[in-house]
Amino acid sequence: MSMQIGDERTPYFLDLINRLDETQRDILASLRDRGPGLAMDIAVRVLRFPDEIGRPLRTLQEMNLVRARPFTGGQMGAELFSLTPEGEQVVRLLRNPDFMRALTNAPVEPAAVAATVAPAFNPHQEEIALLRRLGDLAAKRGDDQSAADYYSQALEKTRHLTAAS
Amino acid sequence: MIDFWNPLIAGAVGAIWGVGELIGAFKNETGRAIRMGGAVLLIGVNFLAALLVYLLVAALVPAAASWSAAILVGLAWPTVIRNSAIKLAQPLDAADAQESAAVRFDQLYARVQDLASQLINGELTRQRLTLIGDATKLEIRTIERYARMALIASPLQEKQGMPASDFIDRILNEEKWSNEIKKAYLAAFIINNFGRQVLLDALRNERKESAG
Repeated sequence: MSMQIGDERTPYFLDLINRLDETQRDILASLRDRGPGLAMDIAVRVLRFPDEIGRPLRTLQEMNLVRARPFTGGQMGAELFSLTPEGEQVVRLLRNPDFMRALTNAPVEPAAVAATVAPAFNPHQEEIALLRRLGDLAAKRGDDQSAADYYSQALEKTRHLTAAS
Repeated sequence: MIDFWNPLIAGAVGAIWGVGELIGAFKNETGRAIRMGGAVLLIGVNFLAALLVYLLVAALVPAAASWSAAILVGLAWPTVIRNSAIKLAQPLDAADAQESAAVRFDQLYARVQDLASQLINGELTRQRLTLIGDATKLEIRTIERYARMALIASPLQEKQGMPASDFIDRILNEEKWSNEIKKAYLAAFIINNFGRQVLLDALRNERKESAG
């Protein structure tokens, strides 16, 4: 699943990588360089404590960049984390100087500009946008049922918001 | 007549492909990974598949029953089988055609690869945990000393402004953790960042010292 800059999936990966924070990028790189591991393994690789990487790991799982498999026989963790093919692709792109240049030079979308000048943060709208994104991600990995669930939830919340206003 | 050795030559070349895949996937621990059950499974599948493909080719084309053809089949089988599918039916409707029954060798092989890497990763993790368990029998100051020495020999890159030496201090000063947990984390820190050999050497040295 190699990808070139200018590929039709480039905007998707640009958006995906833009949403990753430093800890998440470190986690992905450590899984690529040192192989799958328990939460404890990953924590010490990125110089963090396990409770500090729990949330970033779950988010990476939701983004379908990391998968967890049950692990038996260890007292120090019941899940073995590894990269998905998409996660491997993201690490390759993070190490691709051309792609990273494209990332820093990417024009800011009008919607993003509007968001930066928006007067107040609206948690309901954020939640709706997040549900849509999760729906998009589920659709991309072929999980139509979950995608439909996310979109329905987003629709429901939009209706509530419209009714309330 | 198929020579006894030719199928084995094809199988051996196929097995080399399997070894190559393992080297690519487990760069850090190739030696250990190659001795595990998952590796035997992957190498065995590659060996048998190349051998069977050769037997098929030699049976269909008698002229191919030679050692050079055996090598060629061994080299070529991955590209042929891993990228092929045998469709069992071809419905007229294009939409139905996508869903039609087919034997997809690439997917079958991907599943074998996935199973093999799961087995190997599980075993490597179990080995790491056993070693960490052994390390917790040492004094906490001893493990700390080895962690700091490893850091001097091979300093780690700072992560979000935190030098690795500060991380060791953080583990040692964590009030919620017992000494056992701190030792386990220090051992995990050594194994994951500097390799298991550093911890194995530490254990060996300490055993020698206590025996002496």
